[in-house]
Amino acid sequence: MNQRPWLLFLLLIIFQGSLFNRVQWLGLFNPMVYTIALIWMPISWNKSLLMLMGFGIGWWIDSSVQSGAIHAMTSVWTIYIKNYLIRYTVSPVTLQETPDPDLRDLEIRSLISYAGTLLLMHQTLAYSLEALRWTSLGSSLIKGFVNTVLVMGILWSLIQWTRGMNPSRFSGNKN
Amino acid sequence: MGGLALWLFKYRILGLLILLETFGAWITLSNVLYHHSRFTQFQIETAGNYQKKIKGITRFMGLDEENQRLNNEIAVLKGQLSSDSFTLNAQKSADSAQSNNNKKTSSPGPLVSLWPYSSVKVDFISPARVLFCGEGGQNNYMLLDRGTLHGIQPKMAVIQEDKIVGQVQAVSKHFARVVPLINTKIQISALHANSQTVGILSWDGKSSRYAELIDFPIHIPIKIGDALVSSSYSSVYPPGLRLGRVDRVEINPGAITYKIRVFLTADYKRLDHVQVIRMALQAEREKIIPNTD
Repeated sequence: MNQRPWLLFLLLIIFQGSLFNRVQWLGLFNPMVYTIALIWMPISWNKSLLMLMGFGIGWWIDSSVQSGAIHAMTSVWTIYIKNYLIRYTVSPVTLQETPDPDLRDLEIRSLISYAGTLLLMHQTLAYSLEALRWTSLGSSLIKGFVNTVLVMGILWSLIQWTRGMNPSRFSGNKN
Repeated sequence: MGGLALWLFKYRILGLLILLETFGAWITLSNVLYHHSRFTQFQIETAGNYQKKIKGITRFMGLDEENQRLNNEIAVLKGQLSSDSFTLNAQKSADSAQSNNNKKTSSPGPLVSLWPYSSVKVDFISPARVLFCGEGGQNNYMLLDRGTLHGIQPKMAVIQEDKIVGQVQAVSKHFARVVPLINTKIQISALHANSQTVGILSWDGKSSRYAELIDFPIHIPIKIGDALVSSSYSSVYPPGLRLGRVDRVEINPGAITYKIRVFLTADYKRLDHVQVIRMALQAEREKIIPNTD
């Protein structure tokens, strides 16, 4: 199993609760960077444990913004769905070689379709639950899309940065 | 048994997902005010639509009786229009209690009389039909087929002719939830018309036809059949509307108040057409009441 940057995950979750939750640029930019940790976590672990972890993380984020358990619900859903989604977005060859691929091992196309879809689902679901109106579905989608692009940018930077810290391990990877 | 255990094990992840999502939804709906309010509106809207369908069928079956009732009502109203002396008996007594207040307050805006020649002034009135009326539990509620689209707002009074039915508690677009007098959480000040003394009317949760009048001092003479009307203390109900009649009076040894059973005027088993009203100058009145929350 690949070694995940656990310290980075922890920092992302802490930053989300203490910093990013307060970011509301133009009422549109409100990146949920903690989703990166949820997506990057191993899929080979016990799924029940992962879902409970996701609920706990989400709930912690919720408690910092008094949003009930919206982030907890979306996090559980994201963890539940990612095992299925990876089968359709990552090539079977890659999955055969590494059944639990690290995001740093994925080709750029697979990374965008896998992480991008999960991020879009997570963010749109969170904004929709926050608004809880059919009429706000359009604006939730727009917000979800904009923030997905933003978080994908942050994810890409983090992948490059963690690769730079251990260049020998990822030298064979072509992006 | 083994098969069930196997099935549960097979779908344990899906089960956990449903469990966690339900738990999350419960936390959100009970802790976040906005979501709680949206969910309440959704509940009212759903229950309203369901009851509307059911009521549509039962109404069709009872049209004869309803037509008869409406004919009687028209006859009474026609009689009232032709007579200048129309006033409600119960209202007469309440008017004198209110007269001092009327002298001091002006009445801006389009105020209308609740009935012809009535001094009970309202600034909003809307007919509504009862879709559902619970009367078997302790915390009963009713559903009306009118909501915010028709101008209904919380804290409006619901009456049937001159009888008090309850007050609007929550509204959605098309429906309103009403707390009737037959709800153990509701207490309303009631004026004893003969003595101009105020007591508190509360429901004991037993019969939908009877309530209790509490805190009524023992030195005031009261007898069976005396009328009880709404007092001018309430900011929801206009004064003078009928609440009920004294049905039984008991005096417990050593007590300083009576134990009074009241026969309620509104028959919750037979409610169909009601009116939703807002007392004149309600907002202005509530504005100067100190917030005790």
